[in-house]
Amino acid sequence: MTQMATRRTARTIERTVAGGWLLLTSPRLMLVWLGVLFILFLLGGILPQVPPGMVPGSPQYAQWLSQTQARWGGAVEPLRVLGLLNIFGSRAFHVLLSITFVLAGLRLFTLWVPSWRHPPLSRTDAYQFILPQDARQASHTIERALAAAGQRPRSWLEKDGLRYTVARRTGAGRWLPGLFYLGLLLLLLSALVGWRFGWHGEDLELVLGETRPLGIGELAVRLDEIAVLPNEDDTMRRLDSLMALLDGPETVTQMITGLGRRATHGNLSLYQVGYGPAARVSARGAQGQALDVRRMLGDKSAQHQVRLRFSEQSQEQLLAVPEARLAIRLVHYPSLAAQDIAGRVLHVQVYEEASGKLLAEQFLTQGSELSVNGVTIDLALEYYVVVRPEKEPELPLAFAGGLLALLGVCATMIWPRRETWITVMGQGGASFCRLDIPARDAEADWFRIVQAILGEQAHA
Amino acid sequence: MPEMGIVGVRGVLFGLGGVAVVFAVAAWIPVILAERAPASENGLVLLVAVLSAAALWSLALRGVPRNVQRIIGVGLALALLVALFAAAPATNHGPRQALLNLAQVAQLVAAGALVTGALWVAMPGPTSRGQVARSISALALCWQSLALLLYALGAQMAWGSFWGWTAWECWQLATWTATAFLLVGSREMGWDRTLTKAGVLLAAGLILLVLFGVPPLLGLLGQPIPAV
Repeated sequence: MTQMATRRTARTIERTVAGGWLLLTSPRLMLVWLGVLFILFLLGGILPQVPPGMVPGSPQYAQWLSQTQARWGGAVEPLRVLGLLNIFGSRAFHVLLSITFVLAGLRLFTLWVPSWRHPPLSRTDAYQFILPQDARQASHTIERALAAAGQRPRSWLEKDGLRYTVARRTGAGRWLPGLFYLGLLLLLLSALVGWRFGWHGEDLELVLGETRPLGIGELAVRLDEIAVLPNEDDTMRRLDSLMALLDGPETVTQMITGLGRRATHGNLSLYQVGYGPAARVSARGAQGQALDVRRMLGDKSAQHQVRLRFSEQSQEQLLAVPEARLAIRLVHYPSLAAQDIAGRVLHVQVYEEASGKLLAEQFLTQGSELSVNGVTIDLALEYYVVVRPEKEPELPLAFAGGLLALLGVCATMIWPRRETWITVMGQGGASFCRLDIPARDAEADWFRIVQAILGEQAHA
Repeated sequence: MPEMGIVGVRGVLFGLGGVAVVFAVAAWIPVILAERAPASENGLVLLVAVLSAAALWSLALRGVPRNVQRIIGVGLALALLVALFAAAPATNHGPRQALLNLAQVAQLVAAGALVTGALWVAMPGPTSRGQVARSISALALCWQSLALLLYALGAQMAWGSFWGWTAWECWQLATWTATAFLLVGSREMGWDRTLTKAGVLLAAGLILLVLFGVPPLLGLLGQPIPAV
């Protein structure tokens, strides 16, 4: 009684495991899964998504939300509540990625582990024939025929006078398609590594000579030099920056970054992710002595030379020359059709500080000087650069994964999956044989070859 | 009915030749591709590029009357060369731009394959729908995967991040998923004629939508389109 109960339990477990396995590796589930991902990607493509690195609750997030509300109106609040504004940063998406990881692992397992056999998962066509040989010889004949189609049967099983097995591809055709799933696993693993061990700081805008902290320890970066390489038509070909990496007061190293050119030191990478217009302003008195210049907003410290950024948020800057009682207004325009200027231009206006009376005005497309009341104001057009510091331990893993996935997809194209389920039943001196193949291969060239070889043997 | 061979020697030679032509002209299209505004002034050039890629694939794959293929294929390939040469000024934005451009070219090649498949399954003829769907979806998926990999490399160089889940990237991934859906359905599930036809048309329609419709759509929605 106990033995029967144990056997029943074992059978239930076996059936459950087999059913689960069939479900998890079935193409039907794969289709459903792809459908779910497809809908998610479509939603991500249509609905506004919180930019990466922006934390809900931060001032930047509030600004982004108000901008989104201006465009999307009342739809934003329900989308936010449903979590559809941050699909790819949500826990639900991470769970989906984890399930993808498991499914990819199982698919890889079915492709690479030969001992694990499963019945046909899709519609099949059967080909039946009789060979004038005993079961063992017939098995060998079938093996030879399938070898011509690049397939080899796994170990034969025997039960109740039946011999059966499954034949699959051999060599590279068997292994390489699995690289897709291996690549996918590595890609997902790289996301985990990046999330756990990676780091990226804020984008830093730097003008020449400016130092900004990176946000890790005492490390800071200073822009020492900018090199602009023009094309033949005077458009910009490259903009490279010479940076100094500082640890407190000490210079650790100097690095060159550029657009598309990463600078690394240890595990720290610096990317130059953008650049923009800047201006250098200084003033001289009547005898040529340097005068102090200071900003009227922000850092108001007096300097002999001031460098100003014209970022997207601030295209206007105000300066004062206290000793000459002058105020300078600088406005940057990417182009100014009203003045018939196609490229960038700096609109400079000099005022009397006390009365606000306009003393001088000029549109500059290159460095120049302005003389006002015996004071010479020197202006030079420069660039500022935007630098992003990052630590990216996941990069090698991610690109290895991408490459393997690509190889796997190409291999799948060249060596599509081929499987033949073989059944042989010996009776007297003959064997009744049956080959089951997926319906899609019923008219394939390889199966015609197998049929031709076996047909000859059957007639012989 | 013979199986449509996609890895036969002739197919590989034609395929490589076609790809070489498309990649060779990639040097002239950085501006068009970088600005990604195909629905406006560049729409015609992109359309010619997609049709040329489709014609080149139809040369490489068997199953359609060959004289018609040759005339259409060669004519469209020439039109592509002339259009790209006339429309795109030569610029040099470095390797990051080249990678992003090549990613777009790979996507054009994939679009060509899917358009070829869509034309085959839509038109009556002796070619098996299932065979067409399997071959075309596998081909297109290879090129779309290559496009994604090249894009990731270019994005890493340009923006320091190979994937940021931007709207543009989501659309790219959606087209890849649609093609993978078609591949699994036609190859592993053995879809019938109707499902196969629907799958090919969906995948081809989506990739054309991404090339021609998504940039203006994203502009309308205020979503950023990555550009160097």
